[in-house]
Amino acid sequence: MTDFDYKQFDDTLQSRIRVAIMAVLVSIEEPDFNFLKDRVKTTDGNLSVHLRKLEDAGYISVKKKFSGRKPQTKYKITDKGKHALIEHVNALEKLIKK
Amino acid sequence: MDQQNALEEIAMIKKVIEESREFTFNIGKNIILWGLLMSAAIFASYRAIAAGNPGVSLWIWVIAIGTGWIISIVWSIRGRSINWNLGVKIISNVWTSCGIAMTILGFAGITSGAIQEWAIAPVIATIMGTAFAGTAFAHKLGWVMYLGVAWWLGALLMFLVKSYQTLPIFGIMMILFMVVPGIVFQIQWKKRLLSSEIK
Repeated sequence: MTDFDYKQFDDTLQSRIRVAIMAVLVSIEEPDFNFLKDRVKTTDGNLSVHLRKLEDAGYISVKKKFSGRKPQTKYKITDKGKHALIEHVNALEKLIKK
Repeated sequence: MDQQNALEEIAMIKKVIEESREFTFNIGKNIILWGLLMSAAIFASYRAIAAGNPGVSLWIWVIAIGTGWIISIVWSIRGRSINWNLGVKIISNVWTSCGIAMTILGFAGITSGAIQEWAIAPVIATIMGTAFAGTAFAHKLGWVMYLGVAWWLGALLMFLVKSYQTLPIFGIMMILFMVVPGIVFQIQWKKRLLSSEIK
């Protein structure tokens, strides 16, 4: 038996791809969709779904603008998102040390 | 989730953060790259001229500057998806503009005969001073301004020398006022990465 409380894990961050997206966003200021796709190594559709979930949770903010005539979407981690990622890492460390 | 999964996930987070931070703005690597290429080209050029082969000097410069531009452009393309802040944009533009000015002066100025060969070192040193002064302003770093002043004083000295003996002075300046500060920038950049909340 263990006294580790699995509720410490954030449901939104149960997916590795979402955690990877957050790890990129905590390191880079406002990357665009293609940069994220390249770093996370996933498909457009899959990335869009995960980004939407993170946005719905309030962990990232999305900014759409035009670079010339080309639409560009930039992503930024919010303070709530940063806090959630730190808590997630802390929970992982606790699980390792249990 | 078990302990093994937790270990793997932490390793994955660290790897992603580490790799992503390679894309954060790091002026040091550009300054070191150009400082090493330029100082190598200066000393090689000095040897070629001293050995009575001034024609070789032009090719040394073509290779050094061509290599520098190719690597800088590749680095710039890798970071194009990032929305850099204003300070970074100012620094990038200052160095790109000064780099283009130095390339034009170095090649067109000398091959057209408009600039005598000995004079290129102080002319370029003057522009280097401007680039460091611009960097000091955008980066809000007082000590970088002293580098700008050092380049301008060196330029004045080299204008007085008026011979190809300006080249060794220029080479030493390139190491002291370009490579060494580049290493300082690089160390500061590494320290900033290590001091972040999630390591």
